[in-house]
Amino acid sequence: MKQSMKTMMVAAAVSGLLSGATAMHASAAVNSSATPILKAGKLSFSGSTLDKAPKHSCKGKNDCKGQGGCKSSDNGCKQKNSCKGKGGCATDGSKMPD
Amino acid sequence: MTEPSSSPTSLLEVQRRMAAAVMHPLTRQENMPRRRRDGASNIAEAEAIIRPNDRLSSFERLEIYNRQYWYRLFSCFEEDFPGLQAILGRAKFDRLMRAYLTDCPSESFSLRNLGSRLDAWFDQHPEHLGPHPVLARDMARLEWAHIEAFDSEERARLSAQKLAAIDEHSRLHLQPYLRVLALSYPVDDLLLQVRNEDGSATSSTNNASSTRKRHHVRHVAALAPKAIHIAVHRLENSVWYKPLSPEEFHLLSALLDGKPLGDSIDLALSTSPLPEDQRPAFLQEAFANWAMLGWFTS
Repeated sequence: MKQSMKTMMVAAAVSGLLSGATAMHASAAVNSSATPILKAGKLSFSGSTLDKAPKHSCKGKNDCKGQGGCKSSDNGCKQKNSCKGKGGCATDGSKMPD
Repeated sequence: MTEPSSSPTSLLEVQRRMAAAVMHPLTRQENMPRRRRDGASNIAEAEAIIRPNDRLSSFERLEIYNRQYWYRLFSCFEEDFPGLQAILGRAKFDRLMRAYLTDCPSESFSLRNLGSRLDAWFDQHPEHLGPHPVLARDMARLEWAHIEAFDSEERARLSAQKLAAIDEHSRLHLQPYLRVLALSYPVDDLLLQVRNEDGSATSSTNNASSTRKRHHVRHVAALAPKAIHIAVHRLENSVWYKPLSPEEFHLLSALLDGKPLGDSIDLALSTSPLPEDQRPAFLQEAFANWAMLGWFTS
């Protein structure tokens, strides 16, 4: 690409960056719902956000979003009955202390 | 009679031996193996570190923890890759899951990283990709990108000061949660269908839901492969799949690789059929949209 053409392309990109950033700040200042979601693509969970994910999944809890650590400790024995009837999950059959 | 195993001499040793026992793979019948892969006796090891009680032997007590560890991994892996499971079917997915987790056990404090090596692992184990290998691989990549987009860090957006200083030599930084993918099948649509089925199914409708999932998979698998580009990103606490043009994909890929802005534009447009007079408008719109989505960071 010729240098003059390249300069023009970069100028167009920077101009877009500036206008987009300005629009983003303006919409954030006025109303957060004005975010341009139509250009965000397809929502991954149809009709719901991560706030509405099922119980027992920390994917539904935003406290771990963006911080790593999701799924490190929640509900470890769900749906598995290997310890059923033996004193309860995580007790490995030990007797309750007197 | 089992061979004696030495008694632990410190808490740290107990912890290490317990961890080694708990993290050792189960048998196909989901039992703790009597002998480990290195030949060591799990019965002797259990007797060395755990007391029996009036109902369970040392081995049985240790086996509970061994099972729970693996059930937890299986549960997380299934939760992370529902689309791959729909494509492979339950039995093949189970075999894949056990083989992968045995080769690539959890090494992170967080189970969100469980599937981080799956795509690379498929290079060595294509036999686990089933009858639609390209489709399955595409889905695995999308589902991993989804996890990354879900909980990767969000950095501060580009400041006005830095914006004003951008030129063709600038290297733009993008949000850590942004992933771009080049795929051969519309697995984004398929994954949405699978997740909708999972979300709406109750125990009484599971069979119908499974049938519909198989139908969705067959429909997509029958399509001719076609280059598809998408960005997987996060906006307002939700993960989104954004279709990209080939030019947008190559441009974002170059920026993510750390190439300067001018070179990235060169690369993205070098093979593009886009007429030259339309390129400035294309670039302006693309960068404006990405900036509005908050993808550029300081």
